[in-house]
Amino acid sequence: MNLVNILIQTIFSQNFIFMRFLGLCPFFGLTNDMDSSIGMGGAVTFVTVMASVVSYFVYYFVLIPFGVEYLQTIAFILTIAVFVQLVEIYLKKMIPNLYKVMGIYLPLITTNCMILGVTLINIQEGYSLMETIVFAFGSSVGFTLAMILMTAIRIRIGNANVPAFFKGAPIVFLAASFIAIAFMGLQGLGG
Amino acid sequence: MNWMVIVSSVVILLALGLLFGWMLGIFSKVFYVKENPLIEKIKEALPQANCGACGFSGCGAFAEAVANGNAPIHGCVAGGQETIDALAQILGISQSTPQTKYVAVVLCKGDKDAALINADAKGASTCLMAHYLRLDDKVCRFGCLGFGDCVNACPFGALSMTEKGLPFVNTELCTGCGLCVEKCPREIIKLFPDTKRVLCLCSNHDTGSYVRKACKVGCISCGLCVKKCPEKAIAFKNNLPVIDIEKCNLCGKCVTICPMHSLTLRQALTEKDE
Repeated sequence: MNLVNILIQTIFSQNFIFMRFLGLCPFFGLTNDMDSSIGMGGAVTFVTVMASVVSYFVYYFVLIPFGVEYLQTIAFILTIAVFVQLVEIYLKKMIPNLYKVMGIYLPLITTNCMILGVTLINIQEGYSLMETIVFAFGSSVGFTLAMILMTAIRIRIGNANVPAFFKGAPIVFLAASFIAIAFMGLQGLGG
Repeated sequence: MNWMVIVSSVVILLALGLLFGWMLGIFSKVFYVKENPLIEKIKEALPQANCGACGFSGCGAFAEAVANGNAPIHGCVAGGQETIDALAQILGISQSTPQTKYVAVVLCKGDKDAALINADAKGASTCLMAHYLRLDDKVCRFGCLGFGDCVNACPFGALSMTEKGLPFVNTELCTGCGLCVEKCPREIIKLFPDTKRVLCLCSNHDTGSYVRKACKVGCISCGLCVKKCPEKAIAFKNNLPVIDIEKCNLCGKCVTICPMHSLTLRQALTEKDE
């Protein structure tokens, strides 16, 4: 499987949010305005790519030689936590406004199942280092795409006259399910 | 062999953790952010309820805004005069004018004795649920649902549910933060300045004949209070009396004449309560 295929698959036909239903917490929690959703997308992209690379090395150069592959979940969570912490410290210093907007969701990246999912799938599929990077990058771009789509829709919903019993979370869940159905149509794209 | 598995797992994870921790330590030294020591002091003086009544996302955000001069020291609604004094002391500013204290008032008297019941409703556990799914047993579409969303929302323990199924506001504990106001799906809790005033403790916008079928103490918009008011301070809007507090001289004639006892002369906190 070549790299372009992986990229297209992860962004569209195997989109982590709409097809695999992972990482939904920030998807529903942080899609109120464009700035924070793009910021979150950026943070997730950085953390996913870096954590995937490091977890690749951790798996093949630490866990396998010592014969403790069964520790992969906890070791990967450790790796992810460290990178989230790095991003947090960096943002607090360099972009304090974004840091404030992200608030609680930034530490929540630690337990974002999408990132753990990416690192685990990398190992499961036996990807090489290059494939790992592309897979991680593609899936976080897919995540950012989903965030931006959802934000745009929520801004539209904010202007629309929603029936009282659909107001708030229900209409957002409905909208998300409709986009997921639309993404179903991309099945098979990228081989 | 089993021992080896445990030991190697622990050692490897420990080594990884130490390595990562060391990296983080270096990184946080490089990107160290100097925080204003005032912020921490102000934060300690605040009530820490994170109610958001100040307009900021929590006590931490408010403390930062005060330290940077972006928020007034009397911005904290929940803390009242004590917090203002404490903040003034920390910042070395002279006290500003005391703020009017607001308290929450439940604009419904339809307790279990007064409100008429039309069904044996089961299944709802919160007011929100009961409101949207119509799982309440009262005839009145505007009255208190009695599941206590407001009681659960109050971070100061000022609200409690009485035996008769109406929330009771302990005005001494109430800080006027307005969290209960937001939670009430029927919008019958409102904030009022804690002064002596006439209030209509009914939120039913239906016409009189409907109210009569729904509640023993609901406002039936009979208009007696309007006729009796010597100051002409009362007018009807959406089938409920609106009292112009500028004209009202608190004579209490409307309260005594009200056939449904839905008008109440409310005493200020500093005086005896009712």
